[in-house]
Amino acid sequence: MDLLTKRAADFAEIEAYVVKSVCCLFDAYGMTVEHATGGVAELAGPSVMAVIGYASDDVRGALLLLTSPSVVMALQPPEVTSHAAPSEDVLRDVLGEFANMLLGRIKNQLLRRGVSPFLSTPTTVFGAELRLPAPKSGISAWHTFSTPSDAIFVRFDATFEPGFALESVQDATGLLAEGEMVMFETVEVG
Amino acid sequence: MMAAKIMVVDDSLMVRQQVCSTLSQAGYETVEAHDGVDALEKLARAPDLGLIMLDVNMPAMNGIELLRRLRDDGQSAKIPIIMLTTEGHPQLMQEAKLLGAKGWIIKPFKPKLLIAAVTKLVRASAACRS
Repeated sequence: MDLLTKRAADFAEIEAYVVKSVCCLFDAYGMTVEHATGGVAELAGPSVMAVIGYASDDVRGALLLLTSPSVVMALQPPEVTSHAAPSEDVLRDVLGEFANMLLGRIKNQLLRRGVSPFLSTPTTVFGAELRLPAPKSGISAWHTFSTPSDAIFVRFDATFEPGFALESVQDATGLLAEGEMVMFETVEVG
Repeated sequence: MMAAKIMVVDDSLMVRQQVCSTLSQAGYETVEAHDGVDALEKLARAPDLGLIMLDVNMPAMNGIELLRRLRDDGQSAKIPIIMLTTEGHPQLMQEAKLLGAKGWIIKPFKPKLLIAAVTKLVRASAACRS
């Protein structure tokens, strides 16, 4: 397999992790989303964007979430929801944390394939007609997820170094999944 | 018995509010800090903490660096710490364990598990002190 074909295959596998992780994360917060390919990542009116970076020795890039304030409000956990309309800061914080949790889930899939990136903290923006330029290198893809209100747009960027390889799926022993816990003194995994 | 005071260190307001709400419902007092630097400042004013819930990826000072500083400080070295993070990196978990963290939870947390872990550690810590 030539390098370009292999890179495309690797990226497609990672994209599958992105789609699976988006569906599982939003479902865990009570929002059923449906994946669709195609479409244009544009929202009329105010929108919220969160971007978070990752880097390992052989691959680096970013994950971007873009959606409307109404979707972010619907994602707020009940403990956080107040009667007043949330401020822009609150909306940015909520979407930033979702970007963080989403990239964490993708990373947990990649760890099973021998890729262990470090993650940045999210950067968030609130505004109208938000755009992020396409990356200057690597591969990038947008995914659209429909929700009961507006769409959620997710972009995943990856720049691969020549040595990058996804290893065959490893045994998950020792790796924790979302919601699990380990106590270091007396091991109790929930 | 007085309710133990728990510090929740996370750069996300949403996470801090979720964790504090869960802990308050279980009868704990809470203190919030938005990063490692804020945590150290608030710890100096509230040294009587029963436990710290600590995120890993934060601006200014991340959770592993804060853990290291707390372990190097005589006053705070005995406060039990649970890491609460999206990270599941075995290398980071090992580092936290070596620095004295008592547990590791991957977000989103399950309230019952979190309360069980907090209660167990707070009781064990109080028993050691008395």
